[in-house]
Amino acid sequence: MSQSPKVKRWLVAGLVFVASAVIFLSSDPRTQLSWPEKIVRDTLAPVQDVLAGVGRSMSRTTESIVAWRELVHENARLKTDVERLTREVVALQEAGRENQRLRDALGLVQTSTVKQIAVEIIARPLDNWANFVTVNKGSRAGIKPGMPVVTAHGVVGHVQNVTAGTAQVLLIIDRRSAIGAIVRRTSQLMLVEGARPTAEALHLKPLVREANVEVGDEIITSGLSQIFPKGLPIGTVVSVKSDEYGFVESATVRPYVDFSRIEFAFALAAAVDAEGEGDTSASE
Amino acid sequence: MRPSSVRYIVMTMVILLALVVQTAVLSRIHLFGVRPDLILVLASLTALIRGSRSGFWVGLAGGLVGDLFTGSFVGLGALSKALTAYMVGTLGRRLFGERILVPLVAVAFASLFEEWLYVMGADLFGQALPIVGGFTQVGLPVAGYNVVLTPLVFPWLLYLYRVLERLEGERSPVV
Repeated sequence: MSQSPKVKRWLVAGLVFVASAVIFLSSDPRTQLSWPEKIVRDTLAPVQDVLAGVGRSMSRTTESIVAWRELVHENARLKTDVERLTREVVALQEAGRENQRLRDALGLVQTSTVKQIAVEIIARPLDNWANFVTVNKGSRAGIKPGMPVVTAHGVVGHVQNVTAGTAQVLLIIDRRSAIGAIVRRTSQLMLVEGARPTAEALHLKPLVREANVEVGDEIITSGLSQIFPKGLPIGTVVSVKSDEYGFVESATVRPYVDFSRIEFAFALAAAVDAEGEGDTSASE
Repeated sequence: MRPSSVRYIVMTMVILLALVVQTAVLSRIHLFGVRPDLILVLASLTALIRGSRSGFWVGLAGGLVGDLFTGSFVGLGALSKALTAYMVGTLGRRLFGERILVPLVAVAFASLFEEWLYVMGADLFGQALPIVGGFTQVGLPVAGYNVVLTPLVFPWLLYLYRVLERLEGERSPVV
């Protein structure tokens, strides 16, 4: 029996109301997901993992073929870099030994444990408005919301929410992301935010009036946020915008991490750094 | 098993496959600086082949699964894709008739319309997205990418629906 028009109207109105409520409740970033969301993510994750692996192999093969000549030049350049870095490592090792000798002399005890959980990117967002990635480890592997995610090049983002087998990482280039940062050269406080939706660039806002920012400046995390420890590389300033009085109004930062090619990263589980005379208690 | 049940199962698997291919493979391949919207392409072409109601349900289901995966504005993508596919199905045949360009033009307009709907919806729920910037930086490039994908998707989708229709013993309302 078909429903009367009045019943249909009430049904449609009810559905629109429920849909509006769900959209509204899910409009802000959340750390806790509903069970349907967890089911979808955890069910699709294994297939995404396999396809992501296939995609990576194909990308590498294509890139190798296309970049053959550059690879030859890059190989020569890397050999030179390896020699230089080897000399630097030797010098740093000596500096580390001297540091430890001085600490022993002063009676300082240093405890620093940063547990790194290696993760693999298995999926990227569906639309072009969000900038996040899904990784192949979740709460089962010890990943928790709020953990910073980095690569050897720099900051990637932070864990927004987790399921048993996956985690969603909000990238620093997302428009909802904001990180406390400093200019390495001047130690002035800045705020780094995601820029345009399809741009892999960051927007830098000075938090001091007479900010001293120049093209080429390195931006690192300030350590003032609850999420990112101090000193993690973020990117390099590529352009500066000044106001009519010559004060720096904003700047554009090119991140060190290539977000279009990132495949692996590390979630920093805990950064415990305690210094004191025989004090081994952990603090965050 | 009833033929209609087979159709629902097959379409569910097609939607999930599209979602996985989109997130694990196509999202790594940027064209015009953007990622495509394979779910929207699927829903729009379904609307052309099977009618506006079928396109509506594919858009709704595919969009909802995508929203659950994303975890943000759950339901908005579903509604925007469903309404867009319904519009494509309603207008597609009336305006263009049986021409080879129908799928391409339909997908292009569907992409622009769906991005506009999404931006309006997000704005309504408190997340201001740039309208003009969204059109130039997202809408147009996404439409271009979706049009590039259409010739790859359309023949397979058409073949699949023909097979399903043969199973169900229906006449094919083919474009």
